[in-house]
Amino acid sequence: MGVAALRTQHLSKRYGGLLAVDDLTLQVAAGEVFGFLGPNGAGKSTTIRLLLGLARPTSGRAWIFDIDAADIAAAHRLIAHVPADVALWPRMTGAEVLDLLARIGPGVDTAYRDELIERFALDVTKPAGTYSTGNRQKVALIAAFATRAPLLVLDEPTSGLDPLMELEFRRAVTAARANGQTVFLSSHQLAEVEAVCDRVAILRAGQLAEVASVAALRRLHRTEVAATFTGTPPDLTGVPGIDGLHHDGVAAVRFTLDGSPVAALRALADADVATIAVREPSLEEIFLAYYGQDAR
Amino acid sequence: MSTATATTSAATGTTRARSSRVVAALAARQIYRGALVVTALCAGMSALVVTMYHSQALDPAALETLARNPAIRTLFGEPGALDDPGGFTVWRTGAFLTVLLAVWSSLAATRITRGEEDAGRWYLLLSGRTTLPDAVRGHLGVLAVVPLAAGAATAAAMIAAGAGVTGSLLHGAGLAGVGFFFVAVGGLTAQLFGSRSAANGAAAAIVLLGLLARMVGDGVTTLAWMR
Repeated sequence: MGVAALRTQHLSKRYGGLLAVDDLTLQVAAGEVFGFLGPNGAGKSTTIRLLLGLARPTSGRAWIFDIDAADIAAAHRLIAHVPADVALWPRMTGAEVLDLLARIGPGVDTAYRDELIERFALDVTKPAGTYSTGNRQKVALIAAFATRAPLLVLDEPTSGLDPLMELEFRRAVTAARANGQTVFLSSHQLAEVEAVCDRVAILRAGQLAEVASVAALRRLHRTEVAATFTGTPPDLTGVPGIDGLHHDGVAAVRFTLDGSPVAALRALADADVATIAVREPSLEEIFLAYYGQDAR
Repeated sequence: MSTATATTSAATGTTRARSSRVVAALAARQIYRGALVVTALCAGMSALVVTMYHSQALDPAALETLARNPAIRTLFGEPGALDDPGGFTVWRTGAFLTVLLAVWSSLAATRITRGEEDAGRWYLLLSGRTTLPDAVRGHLGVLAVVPLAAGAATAAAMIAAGAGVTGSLLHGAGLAGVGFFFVAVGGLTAQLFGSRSAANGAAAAIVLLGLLARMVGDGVTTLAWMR
């Protein structure tokens, strides 16, 4: 096995009485798209700060391609980063910010940057002070992908993007993977993680709960269904795929759906359904259901 | 040292130099407006007072009486040479310009370091190859040029308006020294305190203490050693 793109060993960070990251040992192979998941406050952003050398670990160490993460001048020649909250210089135009980030970053593929500006539909002539959250995020994403850095560390990179731009983001991640780059993606969005990641680490209360493949993660996936009926609700007990069945009054039921929905839909079709709501629970809700309320 | 190591070190040195230039340009962009105003005020006010001294006939006796007034002395300081255009200008504008430069220098230092970090803009900057000490040094280094420019512009303007060369240069150097000191004070409080407002408060307290000490020294004869 070659050099790991990212490696931590017994990494811990304490802020006063709070242990934000607790004994984290993790390894991400070069060329991998790695998801980093966990509820709010689980320690994801702190871990990223430690990986970027922007915070000093209380104990343990981290390496970027075998370079100590604390050696910022050397390690940051191999990293591009998108923070969760992107703050830009308000008087600079988008083009000026991109130019600034290109000059302080590990390099830039200007042709690819121009292509990304087109694809993300960003007007770079406007001052950054007029940009929405999504547009600020686009600037940081374009700057990061255009570096062609061997390691991309992305912290909630699509939280302000619309669905169309999320698709562009996924395309850019796929292109980075094809280019041999490693992507470390911290996210809340299950669909995004499922779409682009090879493996996933789950963090809770600062500790590594699990490192799993995306296929294993899919087993956590549940769909919530709520239905009301004009008459008596059908008996859904024992219907394949239905779990957690609750009756809300005499004419409403709630349940979670796992796997194929065919049997459940057939059972519902035979009844007089008045309304039906199908909801995808957030990853956080899945975590809480899976790991219990002490997940934080 | 092997050739490969030497090449890597040279490359790191080049990239660091390049990112230092970028940081310096960013800092300059953030302060140039204020810097121009402060420099213009220092030079313009000084030149104006020198010109007015030449063009308007002042009553030396009345001026001496005025300067001996404890309240006036507390505000403007002890006059050194009221019979000289440069000496009069320093007495008339020195305290104001010193406070102006001190306040602006310390506020600008906290704004472009702690303020930028608080706003989250340095997160992107530090994601690149710039380290935090490099970013702080780069920003304060550029800011430190402003008092030098203000001092030099003041001296040049006074000389051009007809004041003595040595005195004008000394006054310019004094202004630059105060500006330097308060760039350092602002830079220090920005690193010692976790928020820009707290850093500003601490820097303002130092400006006020300095001003108060000067006023007490100028106003109370028994504390004249403080002047």
